[in-house]
Amino acid sequence: MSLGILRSRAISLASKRFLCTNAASASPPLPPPPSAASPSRWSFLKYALVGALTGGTVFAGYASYAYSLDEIEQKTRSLRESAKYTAGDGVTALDKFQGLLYSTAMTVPAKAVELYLDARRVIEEQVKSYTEPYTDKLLPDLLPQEQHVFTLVLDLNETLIHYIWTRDTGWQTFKRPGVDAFLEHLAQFYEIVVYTDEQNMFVDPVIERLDTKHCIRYRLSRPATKYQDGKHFRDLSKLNRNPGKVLYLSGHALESCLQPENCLPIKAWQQQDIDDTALLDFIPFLEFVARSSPPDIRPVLASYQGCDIPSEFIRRSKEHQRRMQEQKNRGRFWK
Amino acid sequence: MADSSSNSKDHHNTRVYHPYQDLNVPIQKLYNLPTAPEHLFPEEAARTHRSWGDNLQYYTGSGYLAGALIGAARGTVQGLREAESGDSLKIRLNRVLNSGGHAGRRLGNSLGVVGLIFAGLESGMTYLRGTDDLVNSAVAGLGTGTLFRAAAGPRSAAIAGAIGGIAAAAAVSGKQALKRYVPI
Repeated sequence: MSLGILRSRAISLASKRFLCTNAASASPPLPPPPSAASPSRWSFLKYALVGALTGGTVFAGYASYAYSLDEIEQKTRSLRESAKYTAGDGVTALDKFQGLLYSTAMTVPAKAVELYLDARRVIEEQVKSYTEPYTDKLLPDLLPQEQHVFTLVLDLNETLIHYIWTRDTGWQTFKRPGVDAFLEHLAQFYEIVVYTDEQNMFVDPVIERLDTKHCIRYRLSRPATKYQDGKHFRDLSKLNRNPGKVLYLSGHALESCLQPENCLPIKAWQQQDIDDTALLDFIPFLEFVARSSPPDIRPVLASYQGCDIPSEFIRRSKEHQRRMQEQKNRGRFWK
Repeated sequence: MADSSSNSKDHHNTRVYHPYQDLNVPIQKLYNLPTAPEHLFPEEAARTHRSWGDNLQYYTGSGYLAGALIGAARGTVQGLREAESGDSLKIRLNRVLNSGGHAGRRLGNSLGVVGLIFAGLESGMTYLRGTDDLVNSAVAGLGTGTLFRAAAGPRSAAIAGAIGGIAAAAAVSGKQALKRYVPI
């Protein structure tokens, strides 16, 4: 066996050597190439074209990043106008020829810019159908006899409910303590709207269970939000309501709304916080707002900025009562 | 169910809360707050075990997978042991793969069928008796063994039924003991 292997290896070595010598002897030297002019010209044109396309692509990318559509349209108007040459009266043949030559030279950049603008407009309209609310009027018009009614916009997750997934029990959804009494009491004074960034198929069954007495008039979900900087924001200006009569109550109010002057921050709730009373604590403040009915709620909320609104409201009410008592005492002293 | 105190039912497991208590106003509004997290979907909280469909898929898939792995391992060892001197690497590899695949498929199918029958019988027993305990599993195991060996004759079916019942009871008891005594 080993002798056979050695014999086969010797045969292969001999054949390799023979083939090498045979190939070397059989191949004559190649003649030199005739001329390098044509390949050089084609290479130059190819590299010029690739360079132009690369430069154009890089410039288009930078323009997309740095400028908006209207800015580019305004900046390039002069360029695009220079491609349309109309011979005026009284010009000489030489000036006419020069103008025609210039407009012809500028046609290609102008066409490229117009192509870029059209493509970008189409793409931006496609994207906008996903990022913008589906209409500018998310709610129907108020009835004439309800023009004075405030609109209370509520969030869902960590404001009215909280849902978690665990390996032992799967998905569980919990109600915040006092949510039924909160909705039932404030439906007498407010138009209650739920505006959340969850999907429709999650919102509908949750509200059907949460709102058994039909206190919530409208429910808005993710298609009604505005997608901006990777987050879904509530746009209260699209609610078709007087902006001075809209209140947005959420556990993440200031970072999930485009109008922070209408926000009522509440503590974000999770199901292990069983002693939470924040929803019920808001009832005195919200009832007072509904009864006193200020013409614009935004300066009122601006005065509460940075405070815990229920406790601040209680403190102000006590101070107001004390001042009224002092006035009463002073009147009695004079008499 | 958090509600006004005018609703007098379901007062247990609640505490009374007065949001106006710090204000000297004549408004008297008492709210009953729950003392435990309140489920929005009560059927989520009431779910204590897998549904019959989940059980069927779980037992069948787990049985097939376990049988396939054990059978493949055993077939691989057998194929390696049957190697003859002088076989090339390709022939040896081919024998190992054939033996492993064949034994794995056969044992996987058997255990999958056993799992299917057991899950069906256990779910049926739970539905009929209305309760879920050790008796269901033991009777389902006995029925599974009997059905699996029914074609091999009454004596073999009886023995298989006894083995199945004992195995199912031991498995359930072992699982309960594991949950109770092993700190996981």
